[in-house]
Amino acid sequence: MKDARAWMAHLRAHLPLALSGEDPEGVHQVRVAGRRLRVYLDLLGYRVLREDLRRLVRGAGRVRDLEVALTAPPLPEGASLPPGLKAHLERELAQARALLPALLASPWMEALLRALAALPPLERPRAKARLARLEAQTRKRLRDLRQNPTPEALHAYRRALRRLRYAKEFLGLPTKRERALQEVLGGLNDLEVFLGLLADYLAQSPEEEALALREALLVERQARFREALEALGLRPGEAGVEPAS
Amino acid sequence: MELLLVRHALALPPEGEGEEADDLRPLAPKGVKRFRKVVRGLEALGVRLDLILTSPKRRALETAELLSRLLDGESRVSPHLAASPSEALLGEIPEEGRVALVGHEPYLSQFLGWLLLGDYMGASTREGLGERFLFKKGGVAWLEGSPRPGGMVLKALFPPKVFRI
Repeated sequence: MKDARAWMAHLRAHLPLALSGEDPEGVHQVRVAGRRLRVYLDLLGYRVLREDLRRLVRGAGRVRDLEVALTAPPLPEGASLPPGLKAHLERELAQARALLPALLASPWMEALLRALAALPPLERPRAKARLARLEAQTRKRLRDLRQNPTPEALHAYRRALRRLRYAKEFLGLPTKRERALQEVLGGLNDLEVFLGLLADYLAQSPEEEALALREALLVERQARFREALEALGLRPGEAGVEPAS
Repeated sequence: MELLLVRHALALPPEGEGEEADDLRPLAPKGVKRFRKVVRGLEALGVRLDLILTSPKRRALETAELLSRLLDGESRVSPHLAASPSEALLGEIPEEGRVALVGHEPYLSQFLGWLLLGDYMGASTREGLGERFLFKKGGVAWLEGSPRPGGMVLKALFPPKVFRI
């Protein structure tokens, strides 16, 4: 199980790959390390460094989302990216990539790594008390989802679940259930991210092929949303449990 | 804008030698206790912060964390607070709001001298200017004005002892 220093080392080790762009795994691992370290701050009860890590995760996240959209888009079987959309995503990726050196190769990044390396170890009793808060937050997100089953509520629950999983892993606790649920919800999230990128494109170029793709993906989203609710033990069709369109 | 220069609270000695060991020095329990009083004192004076910039060293991070009780905005780590005052540090300070910088000596008192007196005696005297201000661990200098050399006025210079009363 990796501790904060190990995740800091993981982050540092993946910066060159993220900057070179040779392998999409580079920015992915930078984002993963940033997210995990944010949860470590939760367990420490730290307020500082939170925005620094948010800045890192957002910067890497934009590139990651575009790389996934280009290399593994969640398309219906047999479909391919419309050429106009593909060109748009490639331009966006080039722009997002161009911003990375100012973030990842900056004196600020070095200072952040230095600060992360200086974080204290967890005090287990306090960390467990903070874990209990994360568990309570996750339960609340699930209640919210039950009462108001929208993609936004599901997204909020998925994020809470991820934080809970990472926190448990820092404390060496089992996470089988969280990982299984994340697996189910992850695919839907990829679809949501892709739909967001598609919406940006359509706002500029409402071309027919991309509009048709959007319609097909919205149907797919509805199906996956129902599957996700079922996986969470929330039966679609119950009062208050109907996916929003 | 208002600027609070905050020297980190009392820390434990390093375990080992070199910069890495220095980076890892935590606050001493007495340092935490005393700086909590500083924070309460500033709170009683109505201080709220829009931004905290902190050095990446652990004793500064821990001081910034205690100070974050007064924070309404964001915090950010700065490489320029663990080094001599520079234009790069000036560039990180916004023109508006109330901002706290958590750092180390002798850099903070040099920076204080630079912000108050500018370069009228020449940049080579910058270090000497710093020696004119006594900046205790956990001490706070409160400035007002424009964050450029010679652009600020000293409103108060608090040794931490002031807040122990």
